[in-house]
Amino acid sequence: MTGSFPLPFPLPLLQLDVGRIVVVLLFLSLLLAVALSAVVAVRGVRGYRRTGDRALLFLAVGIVLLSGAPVTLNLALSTATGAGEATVTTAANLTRLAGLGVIIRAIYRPGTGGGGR
Amino acid sequence: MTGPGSLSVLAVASLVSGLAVPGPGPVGLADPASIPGLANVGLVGAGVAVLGLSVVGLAVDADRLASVADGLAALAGLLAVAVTWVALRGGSVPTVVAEGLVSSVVAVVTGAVGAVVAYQGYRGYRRNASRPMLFIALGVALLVVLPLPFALIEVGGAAERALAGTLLRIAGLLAVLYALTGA
Repeated sequence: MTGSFPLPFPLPLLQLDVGRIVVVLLFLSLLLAVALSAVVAVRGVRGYRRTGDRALLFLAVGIVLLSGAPVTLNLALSTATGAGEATVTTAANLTRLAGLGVIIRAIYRPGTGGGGR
Repeated sequence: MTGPGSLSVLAVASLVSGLAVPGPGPVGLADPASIPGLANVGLVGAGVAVLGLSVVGLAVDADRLASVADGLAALAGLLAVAVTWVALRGGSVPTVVAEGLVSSVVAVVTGAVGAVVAYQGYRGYRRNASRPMLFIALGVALLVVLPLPFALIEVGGAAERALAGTLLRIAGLLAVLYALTGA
């Protein structure tokens, strides 16, 4: 819209900045993901205490390593350090990989108590 | 050959095979920014294939797979701590190989293992008619497998892709929560 043509209407004072809305939504969704992963952890630990099934505990730990932990790590590293995006992503994905290992363990080596498989 | 040792061998083998594929050549390796996302996917394909076949081949009995999973968790956890430590010290991980490539390899391996876990959960649901298992499988797929394309293929802005991935993960968490409470 720049150039020699004058605008035929005054610019609106409030513009809908889609990019900024996306960033705000992203931040809110990250918060929600961390909160939900905390809820899953609490549920899992409660279930473990009630039934004594260690598979539930491992499942909860695995889900936290899959969701809340990498998100927190990503936020912390990208705000507090000057590490590149790929480095931060790698740390987060390695955390997820560890979480998957813990979940596989929960599936294939059920602890005492309720059935894990 | 079970346990952490075999898994470390697997991980190294898949990483090496993924990195050793002669893709765009040394020019591409020297300049990670010049490797487009799709080429990265092609490069790491071989490594993922090795890993996938190894997981399937090892899954003959549950106990062996559990040992492999222990090794995977330990290895990935150690690497995660190492990368975090490097980042905290203000560095970036790879000085030898391209940063973007390593990041993509790890992302694709994570997605592949996630797919295996989700499939195992689905099999558990089919075998035992266990509804919680079905929703856990769905949750794992939503948490690690489905966000993968948004991380690897550079379509749209970075914030949009991150938002899409996070929304999928929230859906996955809700599925897991449902598995733990309602299903």
